[in-house]
Amino acid sequence: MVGPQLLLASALCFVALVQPTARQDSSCTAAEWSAGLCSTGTISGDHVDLGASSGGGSGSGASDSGSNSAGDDAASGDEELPPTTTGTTCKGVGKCNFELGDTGIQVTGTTLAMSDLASFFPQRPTVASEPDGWAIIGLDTNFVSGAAQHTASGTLLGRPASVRFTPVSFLWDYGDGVSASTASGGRTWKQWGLPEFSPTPTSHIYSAGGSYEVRLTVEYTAQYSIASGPWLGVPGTLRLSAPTFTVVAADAKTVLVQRNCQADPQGPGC
Amino acid sequence: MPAVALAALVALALAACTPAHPRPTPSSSPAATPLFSSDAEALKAATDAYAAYLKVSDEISHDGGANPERIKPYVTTHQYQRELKGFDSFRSKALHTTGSNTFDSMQIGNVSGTSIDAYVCFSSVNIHVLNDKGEDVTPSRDSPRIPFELAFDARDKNHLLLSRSDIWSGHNFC
Repeated sequence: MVGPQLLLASALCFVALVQPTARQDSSCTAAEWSAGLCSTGTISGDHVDLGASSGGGSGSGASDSGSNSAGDDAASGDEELPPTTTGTTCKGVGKCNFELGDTGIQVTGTTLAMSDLASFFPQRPTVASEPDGWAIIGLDTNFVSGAAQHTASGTLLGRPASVRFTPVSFLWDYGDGVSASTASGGRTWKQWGLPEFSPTPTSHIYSAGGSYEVRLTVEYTAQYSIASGPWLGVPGTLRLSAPTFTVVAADAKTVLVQRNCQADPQGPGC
Repeated sequence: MPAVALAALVALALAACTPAHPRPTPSSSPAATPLFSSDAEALKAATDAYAAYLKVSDEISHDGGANPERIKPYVTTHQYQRELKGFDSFRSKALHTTGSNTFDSMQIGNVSGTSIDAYVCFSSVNIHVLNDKGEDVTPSRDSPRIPFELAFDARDKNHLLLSRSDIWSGHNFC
């Protein structure tokens, strides 16, 4: 009976002494880092996948007991410890060898066969116009996207992980055969400090009446961070489309006569 | 559970938690003599080795990844393959750099035999990345200093080879 009890005690002790380190597989040379060529995050269509495996010092093996799974401990959520400078020869994140007295049992930090994959989705961008859903032929209609930098949070091997999405390009299809690319999502006339129907970087002039379906595609770059680690870039960009937005263009007289400022105080001329 | 058995289990657990009695080794074994007399000596050796490695790495990067075998004397065979892969990316993307990488705050994490683990704050703020048209394509860097975990394999106390280079994804100690 001593054998199993000792093994149990050894396992409990090992768990306490050697913290699992759910570590991103983040091999990176100096040259690669300086050129922005390091990443284990990948863009997969409309989202970012982060892969991770547990790192050195996180696993265990007992020479007398075979494998000693510490899998659940990798999901503890404990923050990975920074390296220490204490005066022993076993510190930092592990790779420690423990020999348990005279028992003959040796527990060595090795790599756990654990891996995880988490997907992080950006928020879907939005689009609006001024006037709201209306356009006056020959005058600027101001389009504004609600897409902004934001962070999606999740877990990777039980540790907090975040992916930060930053819009870098806005591709507008105004529905009348005209398209444009802008670096920002635009601002309202009020935010610009401009009077209504003023031109803005994201405004558009319709030259004919009709109903137009405006399509906006936002291009994002992504960065990820594990726990409180540094933000690391994900190569490439991903694109996400806003829901189709319908604009009805008409001449000024039609719009002003048909609109009701009480019902729509944001309408043109109100 | 009988009290005796419980006491035995507790005693075993405590015994198991006693850290690291060194395995008895023959006194005549040369392995009994540590390679470095102190962490400070290991730190000095690791710092010198990494500085030499980084200097050559920068030179190869300046040349767009050409003649990457120049890095071979500074790394292990395994790490050499990783370095080749990195420099190959420079060539395939027609990139080269100007400026020098720097590091500071190196700490020794673990010394075991001829293996040394170290932690360092790495900076590429002085590096500019250029494409084959001469355009500056330097990536944005939110963190000017990035934590790295390094490992070295000591051939002797004055000759360390870089054996691993990982971005530290835990708490940012830089």
